[in-house]
Amino acid sequence: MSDERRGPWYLITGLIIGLFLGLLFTILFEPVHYVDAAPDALGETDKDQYRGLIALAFQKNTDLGRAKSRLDILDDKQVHLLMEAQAQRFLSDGQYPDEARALAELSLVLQNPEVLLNEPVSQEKAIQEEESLSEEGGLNAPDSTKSEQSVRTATPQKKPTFTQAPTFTPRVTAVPSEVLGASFVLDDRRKVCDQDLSEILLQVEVLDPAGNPIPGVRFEVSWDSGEDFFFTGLYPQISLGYADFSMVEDVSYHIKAGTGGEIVMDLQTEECVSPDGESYLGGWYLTFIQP
Amino acid sequence: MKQSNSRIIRYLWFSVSILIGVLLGFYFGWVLKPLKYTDMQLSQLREDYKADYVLMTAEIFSDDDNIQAAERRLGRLDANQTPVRITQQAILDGRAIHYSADDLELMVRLSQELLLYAENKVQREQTP
Repeated sequence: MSDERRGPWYLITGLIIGLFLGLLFTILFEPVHYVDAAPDALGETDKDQYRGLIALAFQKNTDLGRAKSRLDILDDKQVHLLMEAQAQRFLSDGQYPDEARALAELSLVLQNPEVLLNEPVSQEKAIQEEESLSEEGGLNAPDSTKSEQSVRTATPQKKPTFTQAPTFTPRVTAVPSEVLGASFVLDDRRKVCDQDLSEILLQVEVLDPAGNPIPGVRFEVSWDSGEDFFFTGLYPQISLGYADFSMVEDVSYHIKAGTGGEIVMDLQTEECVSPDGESYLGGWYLTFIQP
Repeated sequence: MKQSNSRIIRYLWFSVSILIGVLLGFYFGWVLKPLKYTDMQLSQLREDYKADYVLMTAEIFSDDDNIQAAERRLGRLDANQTPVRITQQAILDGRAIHYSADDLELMVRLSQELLLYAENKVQREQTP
């Protein structure tokens, strides 16, 4: 047969071969890598752990709204039945008795929210629910491994912007609460002109009488239109007593260290000049000590 | 000669069609219908969900004071990091997404207790 009479079928063949090769590559060699998953994309075992944690947290704080919003993220269908089934599974496996009890309790409250309003969620009801799960052995609950859960593809999400985290954990002794509640006084205050800092920072450091940094000290910062707080100890690569706060130009900040500490007033960004004459804004570095 | 030229042209167009097919395959496999993963792990959760996981652990710990259980739960979140480090990161993330003061204090307390527990564990291991 001559080439002219073969027609364009070879093009379609080529297209199909290419499509097959392309798909094969995207499936086997370079599949999409998912990060930043939502809980509804978790595997069954991890979802069970997550659900158990929600139930235990609810047992401690009895915040039904919070528990519901956490369960919504899992995107489970017939969530209270799933929880009952999971509690039953945990009981029959002899694992996680606390989680089983908490799951039964939360399932009960989800079905009868007035239980929470009228009386504290009682251990007895949870135990009864737990016992009924053990006895019946086969509720009309779906097997969670076959449940019709719509599991969405984990979609890459924009990560929240936050300060870079510490990269190591030092070995330190936790600070007793009476120290954390102590009064701290300002010992040193200096302007910081550092062009390498990506933000204008109000930096603080807290030391004990021996000069050791103290983690976990709460700072309250306020300005005309708002207030905020932060804790020392979250940047151990700098100092355990270190913390910082982003400043904004033309805003006057007041800061207090600890619950009864000295208040430092009217901190504003400061004018700095670089070696080549360029002006920029700088912040402050405050050192507080425990008297 | 004429037939040879025409054959070369056919091979060329055949290659082009394969290339177009490959590109279509990429588009289909990466954009239109990527493989759906339904078996993600806790360590692959987004930072805000991880922070909430740590918060739940802190809420539970604030009531039962069971530091070993808290450490175990946090270990499930990321086996490659220490529980203290996980909690510290969660506190930073919680601040960024405006967790309440009460919630952050729960997490700070958990972080401090984990530090103390880790320190005591090391000392016990070193004591003959």
